[in-house]
Amino acid sequence: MSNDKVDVLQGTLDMLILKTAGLGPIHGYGIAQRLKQLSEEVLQVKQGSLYPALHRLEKQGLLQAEWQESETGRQAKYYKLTAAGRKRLQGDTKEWAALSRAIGLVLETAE
Amino acid sequence: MRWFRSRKRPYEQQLEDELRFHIDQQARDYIAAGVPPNEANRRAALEFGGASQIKEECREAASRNPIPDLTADIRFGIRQLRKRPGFTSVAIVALALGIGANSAVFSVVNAVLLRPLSFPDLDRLVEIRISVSPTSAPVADYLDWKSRATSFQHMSAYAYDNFHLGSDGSDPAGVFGAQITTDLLTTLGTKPAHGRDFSANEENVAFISDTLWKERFAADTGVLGKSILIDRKPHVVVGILPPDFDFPLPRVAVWTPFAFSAEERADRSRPRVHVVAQLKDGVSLSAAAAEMDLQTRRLSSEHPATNADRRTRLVLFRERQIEFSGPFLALLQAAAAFVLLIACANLANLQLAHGMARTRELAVRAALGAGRWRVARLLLIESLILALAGGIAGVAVAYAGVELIKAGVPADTARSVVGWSRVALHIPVLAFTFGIAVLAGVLFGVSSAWRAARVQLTDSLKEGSLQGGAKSALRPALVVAEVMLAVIAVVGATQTARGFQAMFDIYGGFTPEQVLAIRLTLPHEGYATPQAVSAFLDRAAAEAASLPQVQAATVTTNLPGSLTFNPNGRFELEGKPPLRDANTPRAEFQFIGPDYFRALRIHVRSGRAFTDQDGESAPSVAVINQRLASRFWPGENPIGKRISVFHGLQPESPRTIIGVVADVQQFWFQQEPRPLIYLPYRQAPPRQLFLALRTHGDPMAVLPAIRERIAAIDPALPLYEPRPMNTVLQETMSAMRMTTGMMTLFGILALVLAAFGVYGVVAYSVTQRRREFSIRMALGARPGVVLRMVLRQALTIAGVGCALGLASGILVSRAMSGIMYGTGTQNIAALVGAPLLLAAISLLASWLPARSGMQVDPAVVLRQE
Repeated sequence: MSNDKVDVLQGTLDMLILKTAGLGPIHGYGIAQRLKQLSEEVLQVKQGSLYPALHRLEKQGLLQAEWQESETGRQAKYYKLTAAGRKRLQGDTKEWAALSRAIGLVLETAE
Repeated sequence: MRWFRSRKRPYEQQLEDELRFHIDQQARDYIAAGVPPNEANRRAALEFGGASQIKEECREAASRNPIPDLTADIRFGIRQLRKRPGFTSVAIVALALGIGANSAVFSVVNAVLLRPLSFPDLDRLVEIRISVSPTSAPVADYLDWKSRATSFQHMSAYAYDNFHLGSDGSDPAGVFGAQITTDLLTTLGTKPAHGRDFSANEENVAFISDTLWKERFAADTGVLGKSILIDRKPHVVVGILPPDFDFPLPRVAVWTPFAFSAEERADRSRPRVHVVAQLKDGVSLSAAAAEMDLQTRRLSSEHPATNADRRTRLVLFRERQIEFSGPFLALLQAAAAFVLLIACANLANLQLAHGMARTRELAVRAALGAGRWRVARLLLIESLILALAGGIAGVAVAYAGVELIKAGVPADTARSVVGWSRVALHIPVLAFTFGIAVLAGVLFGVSSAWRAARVQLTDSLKEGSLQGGAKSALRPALVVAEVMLAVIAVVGATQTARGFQAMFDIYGGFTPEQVLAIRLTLPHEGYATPQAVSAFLDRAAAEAASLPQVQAATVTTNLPGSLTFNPNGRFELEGKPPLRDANTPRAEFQFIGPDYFRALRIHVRSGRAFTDQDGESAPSVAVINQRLASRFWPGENPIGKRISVFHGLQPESPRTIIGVVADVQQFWFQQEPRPLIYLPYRQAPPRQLFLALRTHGDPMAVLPAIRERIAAIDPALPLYEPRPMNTVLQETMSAMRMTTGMMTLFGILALVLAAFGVYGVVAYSVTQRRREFSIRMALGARPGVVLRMVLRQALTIAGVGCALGLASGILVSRAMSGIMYGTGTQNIAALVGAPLLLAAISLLASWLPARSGMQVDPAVVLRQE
């Protein structure tokens, strides 16, 4: 693993997955790829965390899964955001913003 | 479509496909970027890592329910309960007793009060009664109601009768019977189980009961169409009624159609028939009652001589026997409910204590991420498991209880209670039982769950074992409630016992020992005239009296406790202005032979009894009981006063009162002895009567001799139910005895459970305060101080509970005195005794924990901290 890549923390992973799935139905591989692209290759999601997280979120009713034909013509499991997921995402985003601002403030002051 | 199908694929396969897709996709991308296929596949697989571990984690993530797994919780609950076998078995037994008692009593309530008859439209069936007793109607009135009233779909009539049953040379038997109009089954909405209904105006046909069919005709349908002798006249059996027909009473075995004479059809004075009707659809009870009021007013103006002031009252079938058994069953149901409430309070208490003992465990669980709701849910599930187990055990208890109740009521009494044959544990009762079980579970589960949900994480972790959780007012409050309920239950039980004793005392107005009672019914054939009846009665009494083993013999229309109703009617006092409406003098009438008071040893208080000289041609005379004397001639001597009793609805010529005798209770369910007028039978010879003999030695030993003598007069006359009076009385009082027994049992259960509750709360507080006690004792407090502290707590709880119980007990005993004769409003013994008993038991129950508190070894306890 190269040094400039950051492992995603458990708590934030859920938020990121919800965000990604919120952009439209997407399969697991797609989520991993998109996260990498969107974070400009900084964020690295391990499959060992991604899939359990997807299955957990599905079970919790935040994501809904459906088998669809992928762009290559193969059947793939697509995830899309549910209403409950959207609500959770909004809450998480707000919290995250508050948290990161707070941390930022502390760090700046401490400098 | 596709989606549905894919959903149905097993999870494992979906998981496999999903991960495979990821690896293949990755490999595709590498190939697209120019990596050779082999190398691309290898790299993608390597990067993906340990697929089996990922799968395992996915499985776990997918199976972890957002609503946590119920079965796991149930398993956890059962494990928790098995860790505490003492608590669990006590809880289950207490619940089983509470639930069992409730269901057993409810089984009776359901069969006797809620669903006494099996007719389909029970709620539309009414009895139309004359508003003053006797409630039966003259035939002409019935016929007019039937032709005029528009509120009813059908209207029919019946009357009780005793029949002689004889068939082809076999012994004649006396059976209870009823005469009915041919359309009765239509009105009731039912039909014979075998055979056919009566057709209009049919005569000399009969229905027989299922019991008679089985006992006498070996359940052979061949009896249909055959002729049997009823009252010595041939009748064709056309139908066998269903087993649970029970109308008008379960003991009725034969039904024959009325054959009203022209004279009867015109009669408006003699109460003759009971009237039943089916309300038309959409007609309410009150609308029908209003119409009947109008109809009777119309008859009043048409026939002022006979029908003035005559009104009717409508009684739903369902309520026919509520007045007899309702209050007693209500009493038992209330007592059983108390037992269950106490059991629940106890369990709530145990659960609370247990919940507090587990405060730390729960706090740790909460800290590890189990939500409060989740923790509360665990406790609730535990309670529900307990409740269900208690409910299942309760079904067994209820089953045994129902058997016990049924065994406690003699067959003869049972045959007088509509619906009794259907007393059994059945589906509605089972549903009720489980309803209670679940309710109980929620009740005591909620209290501990509520407590658990309130646990303050940091507090309880911080406090740890030092103080063991906040003091809760809930637990002592529950025990106070238990003590209160127990006091009420004990007061109720003693009140019932007092009523029972009072009844014994009243029945004690005569001496039942060594009296043989035999029921006789004279058929119309051969006994057509009053003279013929009178001649037979005179001879039968004389023959019986002439036997050397017999001290005295008499005939009477009734015997105390025989479950036979005395006719009840009006009379007028000569020389006093006629009283009206509610003040109309009323009394029961009983026709007796000269030696009645001697045979039963009823004390003649003043004046004289009847003699052989009081015959049909002698001046009319009457003997009254004390109740009547004190009601109408308070402070006066009634001897020599003259009264006119009503024959049917008309007064007859005046009679002179010649004697006053002691009161004798007629029915166990009556609140007090009723005013009673004894009349000499010769002045109105009855067809249905008792022969009562006072014997030397065993009354039953006389029976063969008596049979012989009666057979000498009329060989075809059956003697039925020859029994010692003591047996008659015991059977009569069995229901009351059973009520008393069950109330006592419930009282004891309530006491034991409440004592257990006190013990529980004191024992728990002793454990909680061990440290405090240790410190006190280490600082020099003597063990007596600790003992006093513990006992004071127990006494406070018992004291508050008893005070509340006393207050409610007074209300309860007041209410009960309205139901039961002889209970009195102020049962001082019970009101003082019950709280004292409870206080004593509470002290006893707290003695053990108090002693253990006293024996605390400070060194050991403090080292544990």
